[in-house]
Amino acid sequence: MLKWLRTIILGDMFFLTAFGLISPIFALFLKDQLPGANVLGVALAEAFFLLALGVIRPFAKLYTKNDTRGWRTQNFLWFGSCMVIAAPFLYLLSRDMLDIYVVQVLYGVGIAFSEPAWSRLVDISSQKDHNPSVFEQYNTLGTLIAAALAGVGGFVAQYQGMRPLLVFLGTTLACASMLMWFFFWHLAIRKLRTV
Amino acid sequence: MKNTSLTKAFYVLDLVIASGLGLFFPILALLIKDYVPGATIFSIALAQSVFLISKAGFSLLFAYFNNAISPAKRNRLGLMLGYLITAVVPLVYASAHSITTIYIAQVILGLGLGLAEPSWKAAFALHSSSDYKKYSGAYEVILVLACALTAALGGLIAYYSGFKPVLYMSSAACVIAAVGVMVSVPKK
Repeated sequence: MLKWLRTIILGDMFFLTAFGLISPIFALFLKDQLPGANVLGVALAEAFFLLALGVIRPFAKLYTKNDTRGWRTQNFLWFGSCMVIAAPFLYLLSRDMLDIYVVQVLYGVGIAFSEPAWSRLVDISSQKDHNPSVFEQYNTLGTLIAAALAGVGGFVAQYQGMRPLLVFLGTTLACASMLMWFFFWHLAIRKLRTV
Repeated sequence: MKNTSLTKAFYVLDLVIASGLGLFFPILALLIKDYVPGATIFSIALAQSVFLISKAGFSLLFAYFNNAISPAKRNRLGLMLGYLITAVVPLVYASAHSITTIYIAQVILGLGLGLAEPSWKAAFALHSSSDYKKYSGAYEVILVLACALTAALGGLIAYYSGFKPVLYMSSAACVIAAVGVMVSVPKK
């Protein structure tokens, strides 16, 4: 019964594509809402996110590599997804570009922290379904979900404004990550428990 | 013949194309908003949506492409064509005057990346050496950091001298990647 839900949550990459809601219009949000935002600032915001992701990701991978029982990966998932959930609300609170850079770094760290749990769940799923190409299927599904969410995000931003969109995004992320916590506990810890 | 230098060549190709497109992707919305009349927030988001849908559709289509010619030739052709089609897209952006042109450009971008991505994966599986995991970790880190660098660089160039040089540079990177495929990927 929960298989379709698991497929959607994993295909969603749980946060990366939920940000499909905002990523195409994030630049416009910065330009419209914040004083002192220009092309350079928008590009630097993206660069700070990627920088944090690139620096933290190898360490997160290294730290969760030999984690046989999964508790350490679960802790990383919890902390990381809390950071990611906080990001849209912090966008709402930020006053100038400096705040945005800090939030972008926080968001990158959050994504890097929650990635090991996601890849572990995909591995478990592919073993469960006896299907090695499962990652590609999730990838295609995630692309389609991101496409749909980009359309919805643009619609909400056009007719309701940016602030409702950010609140909506934060709520979506909270729901998605709670489902993710449940699935990680259910599939990677409870099912594999030896004692 | 499976060799290590070809594995590295594939990684470098992906690096060139990703960082080349990363030059203008973060600031694409501002570009459309500033230079295309009649662009609203909804139409910009819809353009992104069109790109993602066409990319997913075309990758599915080309992933199930038939085995009429030999896999190595097919992958090489797919890579070259995909990168060349992608190289057209920034030029279309540079000369866009209506939102319809933007939608068409997004479909072309989806076509190019949808052609190049499955071909890259298939060619990598066919040609790369078995010890590719030694390099894949470093490759992922370098890829993300290079994208960060080129995103900042694209913003800097766009801030000081306008969007057009950024778009031309991105197009040039795609052409360089296509030439790199022609030079490095073997026909059999």
